[in-house]
Amino acid sequence: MQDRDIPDQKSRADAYLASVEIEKLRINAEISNPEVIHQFNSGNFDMKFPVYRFLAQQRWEKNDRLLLMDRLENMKVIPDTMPTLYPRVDTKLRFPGRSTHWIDPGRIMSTGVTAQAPEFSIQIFEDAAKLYTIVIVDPDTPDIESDTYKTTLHYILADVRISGNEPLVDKATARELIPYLPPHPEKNSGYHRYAVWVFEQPDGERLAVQQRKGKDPVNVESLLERDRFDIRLFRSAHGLKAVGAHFWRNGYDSMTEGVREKFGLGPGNVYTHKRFQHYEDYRE
Amino acid sequence: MIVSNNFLPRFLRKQTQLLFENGSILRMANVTGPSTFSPRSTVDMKSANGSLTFTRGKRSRGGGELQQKQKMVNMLSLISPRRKQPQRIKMAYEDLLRHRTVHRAWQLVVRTKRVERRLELQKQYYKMKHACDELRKASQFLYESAMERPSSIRFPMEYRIPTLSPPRRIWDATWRSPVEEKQRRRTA
Repeated sequence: MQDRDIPDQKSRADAYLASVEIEKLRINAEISNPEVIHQFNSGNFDMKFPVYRFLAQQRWEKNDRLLLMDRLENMKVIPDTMPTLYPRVDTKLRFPGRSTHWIDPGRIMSTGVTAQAPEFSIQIFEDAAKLYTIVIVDPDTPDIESDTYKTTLHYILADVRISGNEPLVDKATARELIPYLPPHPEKNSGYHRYAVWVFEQPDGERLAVQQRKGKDPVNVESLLERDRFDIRLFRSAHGLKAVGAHFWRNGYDSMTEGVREKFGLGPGNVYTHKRFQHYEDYRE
Repeated sequence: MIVSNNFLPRFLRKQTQLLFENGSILRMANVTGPSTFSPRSTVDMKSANGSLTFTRGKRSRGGGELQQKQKMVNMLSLISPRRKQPQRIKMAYEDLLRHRTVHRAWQLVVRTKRVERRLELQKQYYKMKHACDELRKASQFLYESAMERPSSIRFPMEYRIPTLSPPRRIWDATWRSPVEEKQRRRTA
């Protein structure tokens, strides 16, 4: 029964509440069963059952979600890119290489490792398969003209089909709007945060700019500019909903020059390593 | 809890360690001057207020200060939750599953009883409340006389419970009842 078949808003709300109640009953019917718990713990379960969805979400909420929010807030990824996040999906990130573990949010990586495009895993806790967009931005690129920082766009992957049982992102079926640009922080510019934002596409349709009635028409070309990227404008223009995030950090290290050479990114600035806060005062 | 030296007279001030809230070991404490260790009488130097009181009691080697500190530590440890938490459950995986099932079942039983009891009490309370409201509407005098409560005072708080052996301090000439004390303070 699709929600769109019910024209009246109140009836739609009632239908939604009824479905929530039914799901609760389905969960309560199975949750006391130790067999179910054992199946969940050993990992062989199907996400089509509400119990397992509930248990998976509970497990995520208990630890990983808390950790993610803690890191996002402490490293100030949240106000610096998107205003805030109400996480709905479990986002995981790893770089292909020798030791492939899912990295914890905010981990400082080597530029040699991050030169390859990462692998994602988006675990949703609903039954339906939906389309998602993944965006990687760096909010810490120095902007010398304005004496501040700007956001660079590193990667956009749209129309990623994700279902409860298949959390791994399959890049073959997705649409890569912006190819992956490896992180290449400049010397003495500190640790850059590379934020990964996962957006849910509206109504499961392909990613397209939503021209709103009564609002100014959006300039499509300027949206996907790598150099100065406005992630909030991107989200609102496409009618996306932020459901997950992740991030890692990179600093200038021994591999950065190699990455720049390999991908033809140019030499890059070298900033002064400031030792004293008020060097001018000390000099006199 | 950090206890400062400053309220002690200079001749009694010695090195003291920090006192920890978890009731851990009371380190070095003040040692008073030589006192007679006869069981019958002990000169108990209450150095804080400077007055001497001759009390009949057990010999106290550390002196009054140390005992007071130890008492404080004991009281604090009673209040704090340290080392009073329930033990962590250590079970094999299968046993944990069984425990979980049993625990959930029992919690369900307890919850049902609790909810039932609560509902019963709620009904009783609201019946009483509505009855009193109706009485108030009917007659204010009857309502007020129904709301009167019997005096709960039986014996004065200061009365001493008889014991087998006499108290350490048999008679305190300076004691005044709280009411008297208040009146005295007001007039003085």
